[in-house]
Parts: sequence; C-alpha cells; structure tokens
Amino acid sequence: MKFTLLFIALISILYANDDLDLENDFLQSLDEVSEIATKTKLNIDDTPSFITLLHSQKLQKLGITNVFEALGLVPGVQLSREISGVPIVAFRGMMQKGEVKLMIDGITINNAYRGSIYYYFSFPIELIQRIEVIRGSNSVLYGSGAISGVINIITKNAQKSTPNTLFVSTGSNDNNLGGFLYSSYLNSVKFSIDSYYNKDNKMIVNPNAIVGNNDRHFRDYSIGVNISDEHFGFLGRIKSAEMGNAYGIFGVNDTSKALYSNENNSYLAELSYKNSINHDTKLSFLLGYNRYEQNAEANHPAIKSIDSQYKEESYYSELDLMSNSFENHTLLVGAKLESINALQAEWTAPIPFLADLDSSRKSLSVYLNDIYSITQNVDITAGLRYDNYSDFGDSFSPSFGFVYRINDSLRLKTLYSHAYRAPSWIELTSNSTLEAEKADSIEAGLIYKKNSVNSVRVTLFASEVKGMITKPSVTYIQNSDAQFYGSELEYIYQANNQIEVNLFASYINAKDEDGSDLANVANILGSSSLTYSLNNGLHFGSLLKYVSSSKREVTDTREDIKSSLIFDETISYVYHSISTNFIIKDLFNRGTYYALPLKSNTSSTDFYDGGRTIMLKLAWNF
Amino acid sequence: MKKILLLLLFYSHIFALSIDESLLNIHATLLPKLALMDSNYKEKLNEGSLSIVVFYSRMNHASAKLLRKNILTKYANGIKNHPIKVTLLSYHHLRHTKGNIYYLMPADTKKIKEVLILAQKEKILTFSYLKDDLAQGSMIALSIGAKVKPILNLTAVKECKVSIRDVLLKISTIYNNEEVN
Repeated sequence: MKFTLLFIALISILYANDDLDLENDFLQSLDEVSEIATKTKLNIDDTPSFITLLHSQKLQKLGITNVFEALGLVPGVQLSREISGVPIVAFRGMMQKGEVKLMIDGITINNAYRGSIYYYFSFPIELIQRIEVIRGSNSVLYGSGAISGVINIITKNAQKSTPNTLFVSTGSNDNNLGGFLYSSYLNSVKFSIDSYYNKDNKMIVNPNAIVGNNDRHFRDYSIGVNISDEHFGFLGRIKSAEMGNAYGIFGVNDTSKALYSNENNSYLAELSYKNSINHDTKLSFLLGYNRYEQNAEANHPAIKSIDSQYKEESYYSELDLMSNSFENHTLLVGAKLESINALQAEWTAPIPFLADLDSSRKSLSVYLNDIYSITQNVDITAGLRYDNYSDFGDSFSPSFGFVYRINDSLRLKTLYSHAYRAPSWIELTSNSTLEAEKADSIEAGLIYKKNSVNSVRVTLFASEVKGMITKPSVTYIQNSDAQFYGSELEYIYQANNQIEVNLFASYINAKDEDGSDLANVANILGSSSLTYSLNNGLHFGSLLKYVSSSKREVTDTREDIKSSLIFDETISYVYHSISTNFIIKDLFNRGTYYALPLKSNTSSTDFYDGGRTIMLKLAWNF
Repeated sequence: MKKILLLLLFYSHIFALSIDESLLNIHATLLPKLALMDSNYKEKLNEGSLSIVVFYSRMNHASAKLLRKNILTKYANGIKNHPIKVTLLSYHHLRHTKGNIYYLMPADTKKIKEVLILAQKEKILTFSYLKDDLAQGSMIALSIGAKVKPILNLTAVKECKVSIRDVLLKISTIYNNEEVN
C-alpha cells in the first residue's frame, strides 16, 4: 500500500512538474509573441501613439505602386509636389520640409543637409512588407524631425521569413519596373537580397514651357542585403534616384533636358546585436553608417547654369535596454551617439545654395520611456529625451500618454508630446542664429471594434509649432508660429470575411500666428476603398480619393486651388504562385493638380501632373 | 460620381480578407504549444509526430503555406521529442483527418461549422485565425492587446469532450458568448 501511495505521489509530482514546465514555457512564448505584436504594431490600439499600418498585400490589391502613393491612404496626410517635381508628404497640414521622419527598416533617412527624404518615396511596394506611420509627434523615441509624423518602411528583406519573388511591370509614360527578392538559409543564418530598377519618361503638359512639355522622368534603383541570425544582423542598402525638373527650380522652365538633373544617392549599413540579459531584460546594440550624395544641375536666366555637388556621411551607435523587471512596468532606456560630416559642397551659383564644406555635427541623445499598467485596463506612458547637438544647442522632449480599455470593444487614449526639429545645414549656413523648431501636441482618440467586422477610430489633435523656419526670400528666418488642429476618422468594415471597406476622412485647420489659413493646406481629405473578388482568384480593388480646395499665399490673387476627386480601379488575378495586376489610375481622367506659386516666368496654372494611366504587373512568388 | 457608384455596386460574389503575416507568425509560435495542452495529445500523434491540420480556402492558400513554413522553421527539431507534421486541407475537400489540433483560416460560416463538426467527432482541439469563429464553436483564438492571451471557449471544449490541461485554463481569457473582441 505504501509503495502504491508513494508511486501515485511520484507520478503526481512528475505531472505537476510537467504542467509547470508547460506553463512556464507557454508564458515565455506569450511574452515572445507579445513582443512580435508590439514590434509589428498589431496592438496599435493599446499604445498611446496614433498609428496607421499599411500592409503591402492590401495595397497591391488597390493598385498602389510605391511609398508615395501608399502614404496618400493615411488619415491626415496630403500629397503634393514642389515646383521642381520633388514629392511632399504633409502630415496634418505641416507642409515644411524636414518635419517628417522617414526610416527604412528602422534606419533614418533624413539627412543633415536639408532633411530630404523624398528620394525614398519611389521605393516599390513589391519589396515592402508594411509601412508603419505614426501620425503626430514622437521625438522621445525618434528624436529630431518627428514633429508631424514618422514613417517606417519595413521591407520584406528584413523579415525572418518571406517568399522569394520576381516581378516586372510596364505602363503609361514608358514606365518599366523589374526586381526580385531572394533569400536562403545556412543553418540558422538567413541571407537575403532584394533589388529593383524603375524608369519612367513622363512628360507633363505646360502651356508656358519654352521648349516642349515639362520633364517629370525618373530613373531609380536600389539593392538591399540582409544577413541575420538569432542575435546578429546586418542590413545594407544602396539607393539611387534621378529625376526631371517638372516646372523647374526657381520657377524657371527648362530649355533643354540636358541642362537639368537631380540625382540623389544613399548608402546605408547597420550592424545589430540583440540578446536577453536575463528573463526580463533585453539588450539591443546598433552600429551604423549612412552616406548621402546629391548632384543637381539646373538652368537659371540670370546666372545661366547651376551645378552643385554635395556629400555627407554619418556614423552612429545606439544602445537600448528594454526591461520588465519592475512589476507592471515596461521600461526602455537608451542612448545614441552620432557624428555627421560634410564631405563635399561645391556649387557654381553665387547664392547660399548649399551647406558649408566644414559643416559637422556631433550629437548625444539619451532617452527613457516607461509603460506602467496601473490596472489590467489602464496604462500610462511617460517618456523623456535629451539631445545635445554640437552646432546649435540642446533639446528636452517629454511625452505623456494614457490608454483606457473601457471594455472589450472600446478604447480611449490620449497623448501629449513635445517634439523638435534640428535646423538643417542649408538653413544654418544661411542663418547661423537659427534654433530648433519646437512643437507641442495633444491628441485624443476613441477606438471601437466590434468583433472583426467593424472598427472605428476617431482622433482629435491640436499642435502648435514655435519658431518655424521659413524662407520668404533668399535667407531662412525664424519668426513665425503656427497652429494645427483637426480630426481624423477611420472606418474598416469586413463583412463575413468576404469584403473589406476602408473609409477615412480628415479635417485639418492650419493657421499662422495672425489667424490666417496656411497656404496650400487642404481642409478636408478623404478616401474610400473596397477590396473584393470573384471566385477563382480574381480580385477587384476600387479606390476613391478626395482632396478639398485650398487657399493660396496672401499675395497670390488667383482663385483657390481646386479640389480633386480621383478614382482608381485594379483587377488582379492569382493563379498558384503567379499574380497579375491590371491597374487604371484616374479612370475618369480628371487629372491631378498641385499648387504652384505665382511666378512671372513659369506657368500661371497649377502643377498638372497628368491624368489617366494604365499599368500591367506580373509577379512570381516562389 | 454616378459611374463610380455603379462600378462599386456592379460586383457580387465577394470574398476577400487580408491575412496578416505577423499574426500568422504569432500563430506559428503558439500552435504546437497549444496542441500540447490536450491532456491526451500522445494518443493523437500521427506516427509519433505532432500533427497540425490547417484548413484553408483558395483565397488564403498562400497564407496557409506560409504558416506551414513558419511552423516548420521555428520547430525544425520538433517539440517534446516529437517531430511536427503540418497538413494543409482545403475547405472544399473536407475529410475525416486525425490530428492534434485543427487550425481554421478565415472562411464562410458554413465551412467553419463543417470543420467544427469534424473536430467534435475526432475530439480535436480547434484554433481559429479569427476570434469571430468562437461564436460558431471554435475552441481557441488569440486576443492581441497590450499582451497576447489565448481566448478559450470552455463550452465548446466541454461539448467536444477534449480534456485540456489546467495551465491553459489558468493563462486564458474565458470566452464569453456575449462579447469578445
């Protein structure tokens, strides 16, 4: 009997240990997947930031071809172009350069020279896993430039597992694209490479052009490499983009294609090491190199030709510690060191066109962010960042957020943040007394999710930017403030897993310190999309985009910039691992217009960027 | 505008849902471990292998293949000394299939119910991509909030007569038929 009892007790202990092992193992896995959910922004409604996720799979069904077009589907984002054709992405009415931070796989693109990011907007959707967009400020985690928004392009190349792909496309304006992604494994080490080449010979009609039509061509390519295992990673990327001058820089139309080029080259490399110090604390260490080059040529009536060559490079290292050691706290502590130097700054034009050759910047940043779960339903977030720059001073950026899970369907969240933008070198070369632009923002949001069918997100925001840097004539000055407030509505409907409808609408009110509307800012933006398919792999994607009219500069007496309503239709067919897309953009040929300043020597009309285009895409996933 | 509305109304027979690859990655991590939560999992092994059956429709066949690839990559050495076998089965060719756990990709309610009836007959755990399937009688789904947690449909588990380990009860949110999002 004793032996029997002993045996039963032993078996019970063994089973209990087995259960305990399983429990610990499962809890560890839940922590691991919670980290994936946070990293991939699956739980965006439980964080205080206001985030839009754009998945390439869905975007392709709607005929979206690159980052620029995708960002047009983000609430509060208005797409525009400079007179020279350079694309602009304005968040919540902020049209200034450098107030949006752009990253690719977490590596910052904004340069010290001008804060330029536009040459990455042409990155093709085929190589992208998703685009994470933070609407609003977030300097605590992202530092300078994160005033109006943060964009992080996550490539398929940087994923642990993704199908190989080969893609080609052709379309209007001699647009041709070809590219691939290939990955392979050697034990636990993943090697992957992606590449593409895209060219376009777009010409746009301009009745005032001296010779022919305006040149909006581009040539674009990139090669990216990723080598990674469980702890170590290497990401490298080369990107080159060369484009035509559209309506000309300085408002001067080209007399010849040969007199203009705007070529941007970028070289990125980052080594990473990630590991756990103990069960509750994880460490991440980054070491990176970033080089930017611009070669620009243009024609000017007074000084004839402008030829500029600019190069800069930066080295950085960053250390992050993420800890759950304190009960109910998720603490992030980090530090970043960066050194940026101009390597070449030559130009033929006798105007402050470039940064000084001796421009250099060393910066030190330390930051701390804590998420404290007061109860199961209430989280508060507090963050603080300190940045010290060798060339213009320092900056403190605090933030405070609150998330309340009212019930399973309803979330309420608010966020206060202070953000800044370091003056670019071209601004400092023009005026060495400039200080950082500073922004204070308050956002509040209500999220309602009913099962997987209906999701509604309503956001209210108000921001004040102090010390805006503008260029009314030749010199950059800093003597104005601006206020931005408005609301954003997102609605997603997925009926019986059979149809998906996305609607968004934004209202934006942007005013200067005198209470006048800021020029070129559309008050209302909207889009609606419908994705659906017939059986047998045939998909349809319909996209309707609306941009309301906007005011011009006070000195410009022309009528307001007119509103636009554009409809795109995409038909896709998937047969096993082959997919084809037939895309018609601007089906009703209404034309896209962007605001152009009134200049005597250029067109008196706005920037007409063409009408209906078609495109055929073919991809093989293997 | 009329033309646009006409175009939108033109289509019938609609069927599309974007599968989130990050969510698949999370499911791939947890699926084999959830299969072990069946107290009788050893009796349901397929020639010594832990068997996961993924039900897919034509629309999400590629995602089902990606899920299989993710599971086999993550558990290349198996789990608890058992190799892992992942079988893909189309909702349109349903048949009695032994397994440790059924994984249900999104499909129409009728197809989901057909698989759940099969699971009930075989006394097999079911895990759904969509939480909505819990209302149909699926046993497990995930809640993705600040933390990821399983949602357990205890009624369905009891009806199916699957014996689950206490730890699953301990770490899960119990499904309330009224409201789970």
